[in-house]
Amino acid sequence: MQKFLKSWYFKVLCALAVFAVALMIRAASSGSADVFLSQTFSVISQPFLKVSTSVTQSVGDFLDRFVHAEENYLKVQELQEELREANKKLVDYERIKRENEQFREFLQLKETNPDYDFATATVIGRDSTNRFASFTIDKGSLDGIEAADPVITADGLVGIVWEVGLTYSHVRTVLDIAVEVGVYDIATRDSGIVTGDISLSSEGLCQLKYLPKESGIASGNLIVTSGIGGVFPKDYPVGTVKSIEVDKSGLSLVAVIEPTADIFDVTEVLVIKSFNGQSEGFGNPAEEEGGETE
Amino acid sequence: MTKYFRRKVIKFLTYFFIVFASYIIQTTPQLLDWFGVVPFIVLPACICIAVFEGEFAGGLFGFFAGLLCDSASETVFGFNAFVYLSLCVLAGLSTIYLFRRSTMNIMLLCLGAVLIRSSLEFFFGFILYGYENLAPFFYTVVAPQIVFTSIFSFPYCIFFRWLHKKFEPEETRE
Repeated sequence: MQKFLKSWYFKVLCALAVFAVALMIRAASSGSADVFLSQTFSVISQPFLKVSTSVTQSVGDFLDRFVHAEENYLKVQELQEELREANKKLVDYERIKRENEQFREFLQLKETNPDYDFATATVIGRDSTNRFASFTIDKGSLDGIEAADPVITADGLVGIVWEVGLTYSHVRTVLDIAVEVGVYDIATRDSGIVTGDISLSSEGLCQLKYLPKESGIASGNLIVTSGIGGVFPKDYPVGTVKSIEVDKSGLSLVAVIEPTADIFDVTEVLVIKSFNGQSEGFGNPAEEEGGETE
Repeated sequence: MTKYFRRKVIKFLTYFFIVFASYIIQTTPQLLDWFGVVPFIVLPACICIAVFEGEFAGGLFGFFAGLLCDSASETVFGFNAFVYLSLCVLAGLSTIYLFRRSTMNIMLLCLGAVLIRSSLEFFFGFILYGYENLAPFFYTVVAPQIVFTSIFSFPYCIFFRWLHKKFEPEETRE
């Protein structure tokens, strides 16, 4: 021991210890580490630490897959369930939003036509082979729907209930050649019959027949229901005049009408169950194939 | 350069590499983290060097390792350098004058060194500042750290014994 205490080893170690204590005193008094030494060691060790941290994280992430496989699986299941719920809510939200917008329009319609007794209905089916845009709604006789009830939207006339089931109804639109609606031009007061046409229906158009040859009808004129016959309420918009030409017989004019309602894309409709001037005991139009509805 | 000297240079370079690698492993986040407890594996490495190579080499490595730890530690800069140097010199001297180099003795030396180092840090870093409720902190953080470090001293002891024998001149091997 005496030998060690007298050796230069001991002196070197003592010098290092004194140096360490000096570093401590300096750091304690200045409140910061010895910048040169600290930075030197940091600069040397940083690249190794980065590599080591990166490797540790990679290995940790890799092992994590196996260690937490069960936990992750359950988490995924849980998240998938949450996603399903969220999607369901999103669908509900979109449906309610759309319904809300349409109900607002319907409310406005009800305010302007207080005599209308409405039933709101959703289009639940469309026959893709039918060229007249006929569709099925989710309301039937249990909801008070009857055959020949007018079907409308806030924009205008859509068509007429053709067949009624307990919980559903088939609707034929104004594009259908079987549907005939008594109308008049609000500008000229000339009346006629709106009905479908095979060549026009694919374009979403219908025709206005039996206009007097001397009629002053012009493009852009609004055509509304006449209410004659008691099937459709009076003065409800049907469409606007797109073009006019003379009938093949040369005795009258025929106008091409663009319906104001979006016939092909309609999703929510109103069925008018009763209104002022409605005729009583109107027969089922389905039983009178080819017969006039008004 | 003689074969003996070359062997010695390689040996100390290997020690240096091990101490540095231990520091990197100890400092890398989450690598040795076991329920929030990270052991000081640099200290057992330095103690083993001191035991097998003597107090001077141990002291130098302790000083270097201490400065390395200080650069990443929140303690006062120089604290680890001073403590590691002192503990390594004491460990080296004690194996010369007091203990045999048995595995159990080396592990006890490591345990003692870690206990002293942690106690000093706990005293100067916490007790002296008058913080309250320190007992739970000692039981849940400091004590597990001491135990965890002592466990790590066993593989270090085995490894350094093997390394020391490997670099020992052939004629002096048993």
